[in-house]
Amino acid sequence: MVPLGVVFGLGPLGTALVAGFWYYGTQKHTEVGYRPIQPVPFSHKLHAGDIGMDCRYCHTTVEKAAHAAVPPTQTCMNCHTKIRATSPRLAEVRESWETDQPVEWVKVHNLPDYVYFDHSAHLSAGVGCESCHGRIDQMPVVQQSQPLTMGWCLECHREPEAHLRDPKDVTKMGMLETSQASNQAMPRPADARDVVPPQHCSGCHR
Amino acid sequence: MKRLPIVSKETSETFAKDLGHDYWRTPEDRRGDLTFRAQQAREFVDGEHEPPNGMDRRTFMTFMGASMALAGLAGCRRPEEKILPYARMPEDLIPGRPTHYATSIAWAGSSIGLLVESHEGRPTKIEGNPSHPESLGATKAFHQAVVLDLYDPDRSTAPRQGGKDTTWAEADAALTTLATALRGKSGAGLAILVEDHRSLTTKRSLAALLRDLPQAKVFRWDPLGQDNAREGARLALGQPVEAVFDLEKADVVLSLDADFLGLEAGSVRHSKGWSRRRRVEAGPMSRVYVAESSPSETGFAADHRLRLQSRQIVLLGRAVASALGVDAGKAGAADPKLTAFAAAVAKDLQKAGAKGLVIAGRNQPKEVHALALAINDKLGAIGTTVRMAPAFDDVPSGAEALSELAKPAYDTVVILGGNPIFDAPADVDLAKSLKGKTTIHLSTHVNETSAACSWHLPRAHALESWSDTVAQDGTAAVVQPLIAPMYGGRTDAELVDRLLASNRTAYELVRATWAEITGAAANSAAFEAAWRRAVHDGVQPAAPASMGTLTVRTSEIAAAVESLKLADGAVEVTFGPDAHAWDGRFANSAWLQELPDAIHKLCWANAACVAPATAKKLGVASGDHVTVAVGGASVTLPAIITFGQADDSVRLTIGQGRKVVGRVGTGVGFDTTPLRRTGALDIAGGTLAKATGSSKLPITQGHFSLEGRPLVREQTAVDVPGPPGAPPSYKKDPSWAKHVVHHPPEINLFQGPEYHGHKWAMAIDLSLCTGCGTCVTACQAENNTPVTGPEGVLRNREMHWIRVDRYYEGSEEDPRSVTQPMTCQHCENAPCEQVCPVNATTHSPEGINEMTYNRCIGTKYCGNNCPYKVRRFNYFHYNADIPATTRMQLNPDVTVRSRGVMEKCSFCVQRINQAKIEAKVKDGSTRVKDGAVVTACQQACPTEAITFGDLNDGAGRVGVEVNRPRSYKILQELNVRPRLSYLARISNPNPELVKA
Repeated sequence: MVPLGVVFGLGPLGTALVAGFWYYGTQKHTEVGYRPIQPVPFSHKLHAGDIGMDCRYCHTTVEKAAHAAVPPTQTCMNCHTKIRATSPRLAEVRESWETDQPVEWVKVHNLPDYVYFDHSAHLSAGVGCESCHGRIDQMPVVQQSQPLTMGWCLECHREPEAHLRDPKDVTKMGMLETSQASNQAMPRPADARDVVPPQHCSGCHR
Repeated sequence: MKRLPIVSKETSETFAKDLGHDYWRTPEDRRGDLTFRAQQAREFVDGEHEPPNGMDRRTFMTFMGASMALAGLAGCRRPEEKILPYARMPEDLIPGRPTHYATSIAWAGSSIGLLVESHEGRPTKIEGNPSHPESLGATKAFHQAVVLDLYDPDRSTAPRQGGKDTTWAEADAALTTLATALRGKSGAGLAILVEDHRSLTTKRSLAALLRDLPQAKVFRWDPLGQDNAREGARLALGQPVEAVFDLEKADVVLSLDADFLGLEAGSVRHSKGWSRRRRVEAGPMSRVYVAESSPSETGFAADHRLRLQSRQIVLLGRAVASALGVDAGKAGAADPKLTAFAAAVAKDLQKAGAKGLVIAGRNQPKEVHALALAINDKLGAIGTTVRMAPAFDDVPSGAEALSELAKPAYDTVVILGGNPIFDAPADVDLAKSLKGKTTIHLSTHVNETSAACSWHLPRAHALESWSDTVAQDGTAAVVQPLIAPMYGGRTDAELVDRLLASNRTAYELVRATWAEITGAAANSAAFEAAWRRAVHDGVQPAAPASMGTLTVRTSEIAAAVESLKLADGAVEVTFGPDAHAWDGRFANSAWLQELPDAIHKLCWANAACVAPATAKKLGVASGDHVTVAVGGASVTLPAIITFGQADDSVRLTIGQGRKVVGRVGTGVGFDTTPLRRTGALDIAGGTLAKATGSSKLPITQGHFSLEGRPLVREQTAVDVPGPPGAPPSYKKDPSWAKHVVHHPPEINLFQGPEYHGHKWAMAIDLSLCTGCGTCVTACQAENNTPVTGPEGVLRNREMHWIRVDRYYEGSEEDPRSVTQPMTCQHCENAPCEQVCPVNATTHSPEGINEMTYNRCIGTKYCGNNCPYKVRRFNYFHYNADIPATTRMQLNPDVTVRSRGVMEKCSFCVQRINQAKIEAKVKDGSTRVKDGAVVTACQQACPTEAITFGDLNDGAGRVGVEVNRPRSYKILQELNVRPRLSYLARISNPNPELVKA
């Protein structure tokens, strides 16, 4: 007869251990594939992919600041006062424009508060959008494509070469896949700046 | 690593012999009390970890454990976060990049220009405006705290009538009725009470009001006003002009009870000027003499300090004047020490001639101010070290003006800011005399005056207003809002405008004023250009004003000085601003309350400063209550033994002990204003007696002591005769400080890293540090450092990343004193890094000892192993408890730490990273230019004592400082290789006085 204490003590403990390993070991906590429903069904595939708009048309601050800045409603209205001006799918955008209240987008790529990631530094080094965000131009609904864990960041900070390209081409999609398939580095001008990614704590944590 | 023994009496004697100085921090320390030393050797004192409500550690952990388990369950799923972009984005705004706006505030009889950092419309940090003459880029701690005051959750949120909340609509209706009534009787019965507001627009609105309502009257009351200086100038010159001092030009300075570097008007400008003459390498040093009753930053930073009762300062002034041939009336016999001091000072001033300067203190009577002007005139200093500027205004001021308000003729009293009911002199019973009148009080906070007035109206905070200021020298500056009024407040000028039944906005009023200043037609293109420039730059230099010929009326001064009656009484009582609350306006500021004051390192309290001899006579120790009585009124408060205080002199500060104040200031300190009386506002005669009871004073003077180790090093500029064993002069041995402590060669077992990229380092010049504490508050504002409260300070828990240690030397009665800012030394061979079990504190390739909070598990080993005692443990989740509005102040570029982590100075790594990223993005360079990284402490420091930069930058400023002969590192004998260098303090004493 097994003592009850062992059953009720070890049982849940074992389950917790297995569940813990399964959950963290397979990086379920990193939420790769996280794809929340957004208030407006904005399609990056349509805008960035099919129409071929540059990322920076909307994400204007990406080269100047830490944040890539989700665009103000004004940016949507630049076109949508004329194009599909009455579409019910854009009702929320029009409402925001009229009431001056923000559209409440759900954050997809969410780093912890103690991480100070800077878009501008990465872009000036020549790290393309797709290195971290994946093929945005093929996503009708944006999802997280990389784990965004510290280990994952450090992989590239230790050996950035595979992700560096001409800083002019940072928003081009598909270059990374071609380069990985052909095993050839992406073209990069000779006068591009030195890239020495920090690997020490205060590089990202302050 | 070498284990350091607790410093014994013998070892400390050896240190004293090496240094030629025997420093001490507390009397116990001075006596070499070994029990005390052993206590100090502990990094964490008993009870330091106890939670505030007295729950013991075990219970606390039980609760914490339970909440941790719950947090663990909740933590499985990441919370959903929202991104809220603008609907319409303001032009030029880049989310995540702060913008800086120039503005200014009125301050202590002048103004100061500021640059305010704003994150998406949320002001977070205040810096000085380098173009403004009163700031020159620096601030004092008070100015740093203005931003916290903006977010004070206890600010007034709505108009109140008879103590009940009402609306602006109601208030406006009442104001309209009032305006109509006033117009009907040409303003008869209306009195307006202003502060020392320094605003041109307010002045202009008041002038317009007096034009329309000629029977109305304007009065001024400022509990720390500049009336003595103004009246002194009137006595000396026949008109109230402003004397503006230029310390940079002065070779010899005599301060008559003036804390010109610390708590007096123009202190930031003075500090900048003074510091430029105190670097021994930069040319001939100036020499400063200070005579004062209570030790001040200026007094302890001076080359010679004479301990003298404030009421006797005039005797010194007269002696110096007579020696220089200025008629100062017939003087009686004076104390021989005073005579010798006066003779030496006079000789030195004579030699300096036009480069001499005499400054009279704010609390000295007008006669002393006039005498100082006469001496300056005799020296020929007017035009060089003293510049005359027109007075800002000339309205009836002071206690006499307050008494006017009591007259029944005035049935309507409008009070623009301030808190006169609290700080009026006791003999002017303002609360009683205002009863029954229509009283309107405009104020950012509901204070004692608001509570007593029939109407209270919320005033727009300085960071929410359109207004302007004028500095002492006439420089005008625009005040521009950083944020819309959070609670719908109005400015002074707007309220005055309402009294004229007009309702122009503050913006319109200010623009109208500036059309006058710039001389361009309102709304013309020329005006728009000038206006935009003025708003952008934050300064409009004064047009050179013709002052006419100023003749010093020596005979009038002599007669006035001769007939000046000294305050009688067994002891003299002097009043000054509180280092935390100023005149009470900052009583609710947690940063300032927790900032240890410059002299005693007292926080969260005020106390009666008494000399050791006086305390001994009364039989009191620090904290024991004493009763101070002046003219029938008495106040009982704790005494604090003040080394260097004049005997039989009590220094009191006003501004603490407020009754209607808010959650921070309630119950802090004691109200001393009942002792102030008309005619004796600043210096009074009184009595002092022991009272029953005692308070535990939160004093940090003994905290984090480095147990008498040889840290402070000082020399004199040239040879002066001194006691045997005194260190050689700088002239003789400039690198004495470097080699005074003997230690074996520093050899490492391991090859240390080499620093090829940046090599960050800091240098602090002890010649320039006055111990004001601005760096402490600037760091707190920049780095989201929490406040722990009086109880926290009593338990050694204060979280400041930089502290300023004060060392005394000599007797307790009349010591010399030196200050030393102490922060993380960023050791290359850091003891803390070697004991961290989780690698939470590591070394960066640029030499920064970095702290990674998300790794820290709170073992506190690092704190225990730090020889400099600069690591602070976050026992509680202080930042979780701060109100929502105050949270808006937090710097988004720095992690807001939770409980249970160790934290310390990071060399402002957020600023370094920002500069590095900017260099990469803008210049494509991996190297940051010299001067691109300025740490928060360095930026705020009014004496430029702190230098920061890259040692690998050949031409870098920090390299220059570190390589100076007098630079040294402390505890170098431990082979920890600190990155922070100190520069030995060089003083410039007068050989004649040293002999005497």
